[in-house]
Amino acid sequence: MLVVLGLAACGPARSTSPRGVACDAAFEGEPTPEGLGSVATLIGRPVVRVTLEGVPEVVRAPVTTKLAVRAGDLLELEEVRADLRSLAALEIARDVAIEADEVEGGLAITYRLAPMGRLERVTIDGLDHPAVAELAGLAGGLDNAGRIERTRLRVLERLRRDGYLDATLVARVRPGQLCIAGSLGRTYRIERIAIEGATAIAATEIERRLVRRIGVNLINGVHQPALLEASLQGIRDEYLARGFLDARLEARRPAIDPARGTVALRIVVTEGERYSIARVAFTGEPLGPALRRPLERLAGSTYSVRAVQGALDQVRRGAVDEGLLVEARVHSSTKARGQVVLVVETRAVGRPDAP
Amino acid sequence: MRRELALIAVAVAACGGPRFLGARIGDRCETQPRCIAWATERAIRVNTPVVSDPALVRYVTGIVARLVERNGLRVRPRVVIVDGSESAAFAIPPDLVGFDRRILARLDSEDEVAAILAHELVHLEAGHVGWLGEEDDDVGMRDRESVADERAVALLRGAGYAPIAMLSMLEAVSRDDWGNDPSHPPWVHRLARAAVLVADAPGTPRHEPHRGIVGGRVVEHVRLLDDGARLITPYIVLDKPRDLERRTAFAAWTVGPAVGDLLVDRLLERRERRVAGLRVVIGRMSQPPAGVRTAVEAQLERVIARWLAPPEQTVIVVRGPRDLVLELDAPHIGRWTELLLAGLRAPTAAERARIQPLRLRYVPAASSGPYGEVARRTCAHVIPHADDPERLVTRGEPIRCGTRD
Repeated sequence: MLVVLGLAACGPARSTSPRGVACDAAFEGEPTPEGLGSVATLIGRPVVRVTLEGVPEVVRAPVTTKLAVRAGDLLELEEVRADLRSLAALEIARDVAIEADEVEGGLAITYRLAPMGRLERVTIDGLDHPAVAELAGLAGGLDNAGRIERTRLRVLERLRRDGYLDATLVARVRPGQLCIAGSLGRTYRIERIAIEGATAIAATEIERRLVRRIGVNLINGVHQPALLEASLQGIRDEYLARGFLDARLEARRPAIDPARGTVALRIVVTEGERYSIARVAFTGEPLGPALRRPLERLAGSTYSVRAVQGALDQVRRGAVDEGLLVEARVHSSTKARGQVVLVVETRAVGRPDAP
Repeated sequence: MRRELALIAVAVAACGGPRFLGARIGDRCETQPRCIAWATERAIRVNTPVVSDPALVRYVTGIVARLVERNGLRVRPRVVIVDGSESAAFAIPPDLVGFDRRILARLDSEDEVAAILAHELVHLEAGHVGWLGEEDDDVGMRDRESVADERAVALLRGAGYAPIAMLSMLEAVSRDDWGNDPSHPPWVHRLARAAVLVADAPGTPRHEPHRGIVGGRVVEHVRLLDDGARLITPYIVLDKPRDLERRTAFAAWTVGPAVGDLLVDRLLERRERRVAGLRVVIGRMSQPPAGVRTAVEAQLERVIARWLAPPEQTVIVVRGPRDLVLELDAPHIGRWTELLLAGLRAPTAAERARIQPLRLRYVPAASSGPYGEVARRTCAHVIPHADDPERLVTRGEPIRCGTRD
């Protein structure tokens, strides 16, 4: 019997709190011919049977049917790799091994899944923030190293987006227990904000809108990246409403002054072209003239999301009585020299499905 | 159990005036998670029928309360029951759990209902939803769904429900079109992980009907005929307690007048995808031996007398030693949803095979859309086969209506 590979089913994330399992080790990981060791010498031999161990009975049949290595075929390296990956993707095993036994007629292949433990408890020390609840929610589940690490990173990102730019978070696993420790660190005040590239909407107007959306004094308020991004998205909607379909507002990396606890924000506005609607094209089910009119009137006007939505709502109210659904979109391939084609698609509802 | 963040994106567009249900809301939702959640809930309540059936609300709310209290959870959820959402259940932060009534038809026990609700409670408890500007990443969403499945097993155990119900619930839901979504792990993966967690102490789900009420479920079975029409038989499957004698005695009434059409129309509209391909389930009418009545039938009579006003009458059809099929006029199905509590069980294939159509509704294909006229014909007596009255109607086989001498 040849034990050829123990594959750590850690997932793609890199762990900053290794637990004795090399999560970095190529799970992404393509078992190399060297890693597969002696199985490489068996490539091309006929497979007599394939067995799974460590897979629950309820899913053994569907999992088995998906295996690439099959009885009656010749053993192929790529198929072994594919099976190891797909079995590891079940995320019920801490490692997956393949064994090959010599039997009459060829090889008996066994995929052996070593079970994951269970996290009975999660303890959290030094962090008082709602985001940490996601780590607490791991209690009762499987001791899945990859998922623990991904969750840790996600929570850490949430903390930083909430303004705790220096937050730290460490996860350590002991048998049956996940221990979380860290600190939020400080928040930073916004000392100044510079808005560049704004012409269609004045920088002062953008700043005023940011203040209104965020709801606090922008200057000297706590810098919260998530809140800022959401607010910038709202201002982008304003640009869309004015026909600037390609407008972007980006908050560049802030200049942080740790000594004073402040950040200086820089928002770069790329307005792009202002588009107008060259024409309106109708596709799908035919719309009557009265229904088409509100949309046809948009031709030649500056593209405005609000105007298009208003016309669409008006058309939809009438179309629904005729059993029709109407959608409108700008075809990106038609954007040229400041003009777009508005494509209106109509389809009938309520068609019975085919038996 | 779908993308709650997608619901939030929809809700931003739906965010309207400054007041809703008396709550004063700012005029912009995009930067306030609570407003986003409010708008999401509002969008759902506006676009999806909400079920106010008091018995059903009490039942589902009671299960949620048991899960919360016995596990010592900090969340204090509100519950809304809907009819026709895209998900079997959903969670909206900070405290709303939604449940689609239709999923009851797929579930076999209160434990399975608890499994679905426990999954949603984990989403609320762990704060999976409602973070401003967070990337809607499939890997992250799959992680959260798998965490919700796995932690829900622990919640079931803590509340005294059978953990194995998570497994059977996943199997039941995966049979339906509520499954397979890139934001969720594949069904095989979900089943495998749940199976690992329940292996050492699966527990046994209970099927006992609720005290004083006969438990069951509403189903409709539809067969597509050769001309594209749909043959629909709405009925309710009821459970008998396991210790009941294997008698086929029952109380029977004659069939009432022709039924209304509204509920059937709504079933067509909402269930077109679901109903295609389902085979006809049929029931047999027979007469009871004189003087023989069981405790369940007596109980059922009391329930019927309480809930159905004369002169409407109902036929009770015995389907097997453990189930009764109750075929009702369609408008009464709404009332009977109040009685759908514990003890839910699907008929077995063998039980289904023994019953024949009693009343069928024929809907021509051309008028089966939501905006057309629906013409219907009710066959008071169905003769399934000219040569063999006992022969069962099978898929694809034409039927004809006639009069019984």
